[in-house]
Amino acid sequence: MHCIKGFTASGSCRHLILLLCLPLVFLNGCAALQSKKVVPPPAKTTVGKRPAEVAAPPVKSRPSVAKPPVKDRVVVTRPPGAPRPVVTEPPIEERPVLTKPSVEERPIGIEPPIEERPLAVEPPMEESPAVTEPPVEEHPAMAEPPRDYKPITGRAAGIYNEAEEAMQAGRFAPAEMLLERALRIEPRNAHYWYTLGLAKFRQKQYPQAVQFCLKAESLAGSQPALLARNQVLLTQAKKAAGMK
Amino acid sequence: MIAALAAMPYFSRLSDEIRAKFDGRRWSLPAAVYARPLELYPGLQLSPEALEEELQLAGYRHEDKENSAGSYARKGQTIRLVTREFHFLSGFEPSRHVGISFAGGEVASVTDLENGSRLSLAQLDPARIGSFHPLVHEDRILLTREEIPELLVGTLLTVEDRDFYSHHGVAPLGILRALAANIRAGKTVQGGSTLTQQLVKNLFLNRERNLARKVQEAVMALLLEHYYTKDEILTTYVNEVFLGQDGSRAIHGFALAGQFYFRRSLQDLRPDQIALLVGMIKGPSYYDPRRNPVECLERRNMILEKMSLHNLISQGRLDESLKQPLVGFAVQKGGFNRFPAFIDLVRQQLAGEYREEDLKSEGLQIITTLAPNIQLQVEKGLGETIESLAAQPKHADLEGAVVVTSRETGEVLAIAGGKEPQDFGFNRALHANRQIGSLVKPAVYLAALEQGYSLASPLEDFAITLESEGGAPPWNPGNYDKKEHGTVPLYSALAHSYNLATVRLGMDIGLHRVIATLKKLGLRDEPQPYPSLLLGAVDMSPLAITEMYQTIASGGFFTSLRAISGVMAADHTVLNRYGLAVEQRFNPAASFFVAHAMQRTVTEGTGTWLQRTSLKNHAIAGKTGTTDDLRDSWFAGFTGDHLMVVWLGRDDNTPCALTGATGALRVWSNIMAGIPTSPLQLPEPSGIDWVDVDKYTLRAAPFADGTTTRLPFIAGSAPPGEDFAPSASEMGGVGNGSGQESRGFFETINGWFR
Repeated sequence: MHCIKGFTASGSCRHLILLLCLPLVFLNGCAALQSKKVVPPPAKTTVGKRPAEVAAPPVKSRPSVAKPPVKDRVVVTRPPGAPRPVVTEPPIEERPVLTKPSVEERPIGIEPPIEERPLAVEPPMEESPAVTEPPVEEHPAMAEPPRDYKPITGRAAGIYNEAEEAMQAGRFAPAEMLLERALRIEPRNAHYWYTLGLAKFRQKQYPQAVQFCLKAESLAGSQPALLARNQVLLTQAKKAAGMK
Repeated sequence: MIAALAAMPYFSRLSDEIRAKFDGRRWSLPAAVYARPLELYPGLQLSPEALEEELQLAGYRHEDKENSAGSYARKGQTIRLVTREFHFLSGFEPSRHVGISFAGGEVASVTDLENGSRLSLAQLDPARIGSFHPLVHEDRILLTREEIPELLVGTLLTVEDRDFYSHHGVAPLGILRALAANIRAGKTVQGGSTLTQQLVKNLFLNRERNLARKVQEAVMALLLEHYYTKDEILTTYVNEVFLGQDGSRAIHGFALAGQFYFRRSLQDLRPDQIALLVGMIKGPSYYDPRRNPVECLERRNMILEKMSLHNLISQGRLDESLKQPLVGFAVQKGGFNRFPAFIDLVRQQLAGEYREEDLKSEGLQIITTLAPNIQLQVEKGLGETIESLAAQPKHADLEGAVVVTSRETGEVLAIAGGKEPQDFGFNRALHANRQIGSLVKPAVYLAALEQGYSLASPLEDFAITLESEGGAPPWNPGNYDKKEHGTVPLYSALAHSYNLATVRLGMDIGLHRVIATLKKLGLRDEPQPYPSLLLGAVDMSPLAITEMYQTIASGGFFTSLRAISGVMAADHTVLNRYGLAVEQRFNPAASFFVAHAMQRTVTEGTGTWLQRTSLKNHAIAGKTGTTDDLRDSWFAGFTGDHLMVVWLGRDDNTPCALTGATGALRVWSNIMAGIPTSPLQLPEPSGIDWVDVDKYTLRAAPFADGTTTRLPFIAGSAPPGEDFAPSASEMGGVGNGSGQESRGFFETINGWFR
């Protein structure tokens, strides 16, 4: 209370002084300061939008957030546990792959050659009913890994089909995000894991492509067509990754 | 003139200060942390109640009819809602009007109410669960000038600064008017401060009030007006103004205040709500609708009258607005700052990547993996179970920690750092390093299975004495029941958590192999190669244990636990995405076998208590853990969808009188029973044979009966039948790993002689 009284008492003084100061500030202060106008005030349209587009504040040092220039911005995907360089990180293929049993080392799961596979209609996937796989391609050594554009049905089919479209358009980063969403809904759908492997392969991230193929294989159960396609991709990804 | 020149250095210094602070300050925005966006699709296991809870956490408001973004209405088994537009990691999603109908605890259909079409999927804007505050706990939602409703601007200027668009920072006329009013009243009844001056005071000056301060304030206001446009100053004011307190969080700016007090975005506020907020500027604490509803209402209505007087609202709107009661301020069920334990983990995963001050000021948007529905179950289940256990004095002062992840992808869905979820202190899930006891055993058995042991390999559960180096007394481990169990099959030794069999097995395969296996599973430390390691004499946090069990749960694939899906800049460009990454570290068969043995823990071992719960048909795989003198009680287990690790114990590491089965397992089951989760179906690797094995002779049995059990083997490696020598190995491993499709005893025999 006391403090408010004091404020009031000084109020009248303050007003007088201010009134005196006012023209002074305007006539002299502004003119004098004119020359210091290094950075123009930010444009009206960008107010509140993003700091980077607004002229940087002259004094405050800008943050060193991993914030590359807008145009060159690259979304980096990596496990959070991996060693963290300050700003950029090595592409995924450069990261050491710790243990990766080759097919030969694995005691089980050795696939018969694809040619010997019956060209059977694939049984429905566990969580995506009524899928008819196209027959296995007869030439496993083809230059490009096989792709499957056939839309599928299932709980996450909508997202998966979007992912396929993105893949076909060469937009692999969005495709990966969509596939991860699909996997949140159907985490044991081997087909999605395989497609994620394909997305990695297309982006030349071969070691991770290998891993997703292995994951697809572990979940594929008795889906010979998928297993066969996966095996082709796995072989090519391993070769590209410099593995046996 | 001379005086003015002499004052120039002063102006120059002030102007630098103002521009630095104003520019920096305008964007000082704490990083916003969001839960995972909920995906709604037909077949999703979700009750309407659970969805309502999610919506409440996400700040949706319950209305009779959903009218605008952020509202929902429920009619029996149908919830209709209008989502709010949101920038997801995958891009911008506009507001949508959707209907969700439920049947049998599932989402039956998702409908686009704009055109009546069925949707296969709808993504909801996520709950905002926290932010990284600066030291002063401020929070705000930043608006652009275009986003500020004109009615708010009009009301604000009418009440606080009528001449805003015509003055130069200070308003002599306003000051005179205020002065006159104050003199007349004999006290301060009107402030002469312009919005600019108020902003200067908030941004640059402390609460001190003296003449020098007032002069400085006025000069700074003038300078501010010189450097910035009216709209910039107004926008900053609208974003800056203090409008109340939410615990330790200061509510700054109209947008956040609208969200906080009314659960509405600013564009959705009614005139009476705008009037209330503008009225609060004068005294955010005094006119707080929660504290002083009478005063608040009086001031709101006074402002409404002013709005009408200045033709901001019609007479009709005025009458209507005056009738609006003050409601809905009672309990805020929002998710903001509700989950400090999870935010801890987010902070930990961001550390080293982002500077603390950037998290507090750069307006980053962090999309996490938190599943609010599961988090709430975790908090409830842990609290309830501890409370019921602590009814017995010997279990007093019990604490606990829980981590839940998605089984295949390693996303952290929920975390409890203690029994009190609002405890911002010690986070046991992350930082309580405790002996893990028998939770280490799956690593020992996995190492053995990789070495070629089978689930039926006979282990010796007999007393053993291990000489210690350096003259320490020899070590005599014992079983929990103080008995020896003789020759037991490997799967049973793990299921029953036999110590003697485990120590002998571990010593046979070698401590170095066990340590290598632990590290392959995800252990980040280098444990000492002492035999006691085989019984879990190693300290780990619940989170670290979870990462190890994740590798087992996902079929031998290691994946770093992730609490963050991605980070966006203030303009929603994606700075970092933490995508899915897996790495196969164990062969699929060994992983399959150890998980099968862990299912035996629940069907016949130390975890049979689960058979008495609603989870009995979930084929859960798990492991109990108990440490010396009952200091720690652990359970780690997984269903088809979820992995959960629970720890119970006392902070001072004194005995809590609970085993893994009598303590942590109860918490585990209480929580898991409340989460929609699918039964576990272990993916079976190719080349596996299921063989009926006699439980006593550990040989293949000719037919299944009460003394046999059906176990998986690598094809051809099953033990031979009792009267059928020679064994497969003596036959030179014929059929081993050849992918034969044999099933059962006779096929196995056929295989040998093929």
